[in-house]
Amino acid sequence: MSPEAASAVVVGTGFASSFFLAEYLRHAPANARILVLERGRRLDPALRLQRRLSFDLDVGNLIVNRTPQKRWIQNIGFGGGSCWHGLTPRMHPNDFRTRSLYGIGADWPLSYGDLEPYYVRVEEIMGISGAAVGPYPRSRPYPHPPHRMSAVDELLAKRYPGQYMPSPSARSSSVATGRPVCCGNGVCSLCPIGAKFQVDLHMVRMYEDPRITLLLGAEVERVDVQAGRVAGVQYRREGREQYVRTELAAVGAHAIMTPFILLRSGLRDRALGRYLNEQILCSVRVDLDGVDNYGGGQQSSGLGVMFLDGAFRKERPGCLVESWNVPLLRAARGRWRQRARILFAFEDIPEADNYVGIAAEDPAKPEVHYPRHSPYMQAGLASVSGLVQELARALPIESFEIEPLEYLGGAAHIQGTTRMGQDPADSVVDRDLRHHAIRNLVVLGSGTFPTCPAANPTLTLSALAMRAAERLFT
Amino acid sequence: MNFTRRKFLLAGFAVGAAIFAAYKWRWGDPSEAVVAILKRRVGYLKVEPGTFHDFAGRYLEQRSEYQKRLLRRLSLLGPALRFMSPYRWLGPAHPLRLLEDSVVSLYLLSTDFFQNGADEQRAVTYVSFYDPYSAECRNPFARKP
Repeated sequence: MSPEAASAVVVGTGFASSFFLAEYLRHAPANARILVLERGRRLDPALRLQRRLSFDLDVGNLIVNRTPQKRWIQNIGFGGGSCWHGLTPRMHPNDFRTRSLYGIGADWPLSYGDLEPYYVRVEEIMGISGAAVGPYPRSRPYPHPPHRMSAVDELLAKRYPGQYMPSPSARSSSVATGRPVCCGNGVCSLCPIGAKFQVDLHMVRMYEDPRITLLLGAEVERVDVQAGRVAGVQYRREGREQYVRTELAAVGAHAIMTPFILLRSGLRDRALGRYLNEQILCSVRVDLDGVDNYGGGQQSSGLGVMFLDGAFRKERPGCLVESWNVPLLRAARGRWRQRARILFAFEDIPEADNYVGIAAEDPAKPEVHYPRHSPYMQAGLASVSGLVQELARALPIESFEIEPLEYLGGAAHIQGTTRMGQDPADSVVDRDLRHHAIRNLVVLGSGTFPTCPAANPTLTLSALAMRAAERLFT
Repeated sequence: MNFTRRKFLLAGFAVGAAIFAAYKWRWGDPSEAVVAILKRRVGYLKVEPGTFHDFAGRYLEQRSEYQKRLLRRLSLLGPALRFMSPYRWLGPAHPLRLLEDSVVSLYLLSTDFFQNGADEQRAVTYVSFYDPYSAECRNPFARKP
């Protein structure tokens, strides 16, 4: 039964909403009533494996894509689609102040130090494995030991000491996580053994809290704003319009649907829906001479930060280097394992002209506009060949080839459309993820990122969500 | 123009070849290409008779339409595919190379070849189709922490 009133309404059940809830429940009184509205369904994991399908609602079918040369990947379902691969690097401390340091992008309204305690807590909950290597000050060690690296990783770690590490990840490295140890099958979007942390498997108990009412198949249409405050949330479920009064709304429906809901609610912030972005991944296939690869313990076994930060960011983007460990062999007798796949994940400077709006011909759908990569990203993509040649100083590379981007590429990390900042003229929410003007509206997820760092966003957006919930009570 | 017997035969041959190519292009059996690749790449291993064909059937079940079309067109080359391939002249990311790599990878990972130390002298047993989505831990190279 749908409640008529709630202390809080949370939209979405992905990582942002779930980590917000995890913290919110720690502080909320016993009589709190929290309504969680999820548009998608809960699918049986065995069925998903059988169908090779994360979820049956694909955001690509729910939008009007004005620039089909760019595709957007996001499944919708309980737990946020769970198509994530589980890679959890932190953001580089300098990622938070690229405007001050390099004159590009925007400074975040909070620092690495502000977020670090929340990084630690999210890593504990997710059971992250990793090694304390790299430019990431830590107040506590990773909760679980790192996975083994591959032969390629070992060579790169030797060449770049302190800048190359076992990939930090939510793929279990120890039964102490409460999950089976990852066996490197390399199909993380649908982990067949439940080794990867995911909301729909490992946070289910939280949703059984008696203070929570979870409604699946509930499509939020708008947040009802009256006299500068959220008064309620309107949604459609089982073909019927529903309305719930609330004292707080937290919207975490990912970076296309969240701005769409807020635009339909009548919000007209200048930055709302704008600055749509995601990292672009560039894949390079490499033939090796004399090195047998693929001995790592997980899908992407090594992570390099040697090209991530520096004065060069004034002209071209930094990138993370990922070495993949999925055994695509080389069809050459006795040289089966002498190949590698290396990914370069580039940051970007979000551009205001890339946006999410309301489709005029079908106002029930968002329109999405992203015609081309920024000149900054183009400079990054043009640098890949040189970066591989730099890696050749560590690796016996026989030959390599850059894989062409399909549909402008991407990373399935949609970001930027509800960005945070200090100035309402160019941002939507403040550092606590609260709307600048509507103070009982919290906006969650990677849409709040004011820049597009190279790091995978899930760890950071989860930490931001926990912090946002805590700040409501302090 | 004189229409000699020789020209008539040549024209007939050309038309026949074109019909054969068109037929293969549209309706060729992609499993022929899979088996031909395996015979060329790993035919020297001591494998059980028929396992290449068994594997090819399972392999094709899990391929995209694009990959099946590519294999169907490769089957045009017929038996010649058993002896030649442009592999060595292609870059590591070329679709034809990736296809050949994929056939060989999935076949070898479906056998006990790597569990036995990639020993070419030992008989190779086809265990079951390598399906990373199955609940088994099948990657023979992955090492635990």
